[in-house]
Amino acid sequence: MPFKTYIIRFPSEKARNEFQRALKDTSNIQPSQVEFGEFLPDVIVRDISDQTLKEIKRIADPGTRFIEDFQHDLFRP
Amino acid sequence: MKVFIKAQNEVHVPTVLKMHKVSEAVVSEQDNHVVIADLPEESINELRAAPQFEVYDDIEFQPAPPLPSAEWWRRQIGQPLPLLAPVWHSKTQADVMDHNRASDAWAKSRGEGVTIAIVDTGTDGSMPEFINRSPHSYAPSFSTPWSDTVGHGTMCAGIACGSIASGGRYSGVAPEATLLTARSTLFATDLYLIYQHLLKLKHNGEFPRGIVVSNSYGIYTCTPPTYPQGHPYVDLVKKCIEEGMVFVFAGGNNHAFGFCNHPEVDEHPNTIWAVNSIDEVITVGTVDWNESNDTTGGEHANSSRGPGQWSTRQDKPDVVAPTYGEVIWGGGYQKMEWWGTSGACPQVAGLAALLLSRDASLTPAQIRTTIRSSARTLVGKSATCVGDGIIDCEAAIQQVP
Repeated sequence: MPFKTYIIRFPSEKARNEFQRALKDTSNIQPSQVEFGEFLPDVIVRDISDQTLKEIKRIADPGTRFIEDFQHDLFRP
Repeated sequence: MKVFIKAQNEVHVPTVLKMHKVSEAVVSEQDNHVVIADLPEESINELRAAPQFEVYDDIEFQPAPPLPSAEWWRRQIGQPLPLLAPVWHSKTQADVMDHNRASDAWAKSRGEGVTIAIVDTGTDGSMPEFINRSPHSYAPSFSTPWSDTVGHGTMCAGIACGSIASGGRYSGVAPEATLLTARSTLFATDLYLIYQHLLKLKHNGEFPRGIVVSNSYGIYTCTPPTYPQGHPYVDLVKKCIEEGMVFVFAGGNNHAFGFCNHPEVDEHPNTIWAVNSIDEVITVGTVDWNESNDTTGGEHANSSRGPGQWSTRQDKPDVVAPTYGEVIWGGGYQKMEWWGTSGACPQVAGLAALLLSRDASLTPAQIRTTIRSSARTLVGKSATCVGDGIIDCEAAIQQVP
């Protein structure tokens, strides 16, 4: 099963705080997989399965956006 | 001494293999008459004298030079080089620093006190060009930022703020600026953590003379990328700029045969995408030594065309910078026809550092305006190819008393 990394944008700081509290009850994610944005209401969640994604979508505010990580290219000569 | 021995018949091969003092011998798998053997001189002479063997000396080849030298041509055809080597072959980063007039500006500013963050593949810390190194260099996904297995990040750092003061070969545009190397996987999440790190440092007062962020990456695509304008990573770039950090982006190498195959002479269609095209950043294209980026077959024709996917002013690229000749690359130097828009972007980052070193109160918007308004117009060139023209560091610095 492929594991993917997501950056999650919450509609507000409050929505993110609620998610943070609910996340503690989610056994499929370790704290080391999660990083909280310091300036914007974002969360990076690393290497999760589709099943775990579904689970965290359930506990997140409906206005939350889940964006799969992607890699840029070097504009090398 | 190693030699090739060709036997008339394979029944003669064992003679070679049993020779006195043979230290190494391999029978060719393709031709079992041929043996490669390491033999003493007297054994080789013995074989040379025997009619059933032909002996060929080993040959030491040299790595091919990037281009045939004049002497090579003379030896091949018995007369001097019929064609001139391309102009870029004899040029270096020092010529580019004259071309963009950084060398003229150094009497007034050398970037002292300003930090340039190179967000790229890391920097080779063994190179003597990097004299002012930020202790805040960062690599969220690597063990050290001061390593560069690609070479690209070191090139960008050397162009922005390399220095000859401690034995380096070339100075960059802002040779006394401080280099903060940010080594990235170029995943959006990794870039997010880097920009967040820089913003946190800024909040802590670590960049009193200002910070410029040089970004020579983007997306190779010929159609608009699918990620949204409201991507958290893009929002963070915008927030950094709102808080006074100057962001410079390469326009891209998408236009011609390098990726999208649009005719070199065409000014359209747009191939500057996403965050590289937003109004708040300075977007940089590139031109050749002759200030062209529409020459048929010329690498510079790959410089992406504007007006920019997300630019509301529809005026990308902002400017161009020249790229050609020998440049620092990883742990050494390379001669290249062009450095891509990757090599143009850090020139503008260096120029922004020269301006900030003169006046740390300049805003990102003021710096962008100064760089655009001081650029030298390239007559007959379209704005979608070259923006307001080629950067002129001396003219820009004169606008900051």
